[in-house]
Amino acid sequence: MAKVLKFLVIDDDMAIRKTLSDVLEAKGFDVVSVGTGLEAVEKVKQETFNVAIIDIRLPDIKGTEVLKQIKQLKPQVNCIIITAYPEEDPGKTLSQGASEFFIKPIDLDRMLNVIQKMAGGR
Amino acid sequence: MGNNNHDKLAVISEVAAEAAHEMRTPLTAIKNSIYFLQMAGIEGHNPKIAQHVSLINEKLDQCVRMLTNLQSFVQPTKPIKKESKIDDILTDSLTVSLANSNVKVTTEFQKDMPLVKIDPFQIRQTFDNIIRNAADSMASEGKLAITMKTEAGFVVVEFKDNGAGISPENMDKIFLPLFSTTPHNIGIGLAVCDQFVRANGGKIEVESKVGEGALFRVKLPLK
Repeated sequence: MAKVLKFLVIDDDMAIRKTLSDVLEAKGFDVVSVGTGLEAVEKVKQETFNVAIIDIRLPDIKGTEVLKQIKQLKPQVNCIIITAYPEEDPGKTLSQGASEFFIKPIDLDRMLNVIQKMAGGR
Repeated sequence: MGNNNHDKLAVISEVAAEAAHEMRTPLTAIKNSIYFLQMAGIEGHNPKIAQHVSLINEKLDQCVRMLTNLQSFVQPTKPIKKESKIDDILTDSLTVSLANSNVKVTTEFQKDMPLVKIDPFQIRQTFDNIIRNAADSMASEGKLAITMKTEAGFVVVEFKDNGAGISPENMDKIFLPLFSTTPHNIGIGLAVCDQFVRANGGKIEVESKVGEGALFRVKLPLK
C-alpha cells in the first residue's frame, strides 16, 4: 500500500490553513499546519514531510527564507510557494528550489494535479 | 500644489494596491472552503445548492479578476520575460475564462508556434481580459473565433466575437481607464491589456462595426 503524503502548510491566516488542510485531508493526505516561518523550520527539523506549502509573506521570517532553510535541512521536501502578490517573480523562488508557484486564490485543481505528479514521482 | 496632488495620487494608488492584496487572503479562504464543500458532496442534497455554489464561485472569480486588474493598473510592474509557449497560455486562459459560459469557441492555431519571450503572467491576464470582455459583449448565442499565427516578426493572436460591437465614437476610448459600456465593469481591463502588451513590446489593434462584433488583434514580437 502506498505511503500517504505528509504536508506542512505554512500560512499566517488561520482560515487559509484550515480550509487548505481540510481539502488536503479530504484527499487522503496527512497535514500539519503552522502560522509562522520559525515554527515551520522547527517542524521540519522534528518531522518528515513530503510537501511544504509556503506563503511568501509571513509575520516573522520571509517565506523565501523558510524555503531556503527547508531545502538545506531536508532537500527531498517538495516546496510549493503561494502568494497574494501577483507581481512576485515566480522564477526567483523556483530557482531557489521551489517546485511550483501559485497566486492566491489558489487554483486547487491545478495544485492537486501538481501534487498527484509529485506523488507519482516518488 | 502639483506635487501635493502627485503625492496624494501616489498614496491612493498604494492604498488601492495594498487593499487588493489584503482582499486576496479572505477570497482564498472562501474559494478553498467552497472547493471543500463541493468535494464533500454538498451539492448532492439539493440541485439548487449546485446552482448557488456555482454562482458564488463565478462571482468570486469576477472579484479576483477586478482585483488583479486593479493591482496591475495602480502598481504597474516591469515585465518579467521568459521564453513561453503562447499557445499553452491561451489555451489555459480559454479554459478558465470561459468556464460556466455558453460561448462557442473555435480555434485555429498555426502548428509549431515558436517560443516567445514575454511575461507569461501579463500576457495571460491580457488574454483573460479580452476573452471575458468578448463573452460579456455577447448574448446567449455567443461565438468567439481565435486564430494564432506568426507574421512579419510577430505572433499575431486574433479574437473575433459576434457581440454588440463598438460604436465609432467609442473606438478611441476603449483602452482608456474607467471607460466601460457594460454594467458592473469598472473599465480598467482593456487599459491593463494595452499597458501589458506595450510593455512586452507589442501592440493591440481593434476593428469593429456596431452589430457585427469586434476583432481584437494582439501582436507580440518574436524577438
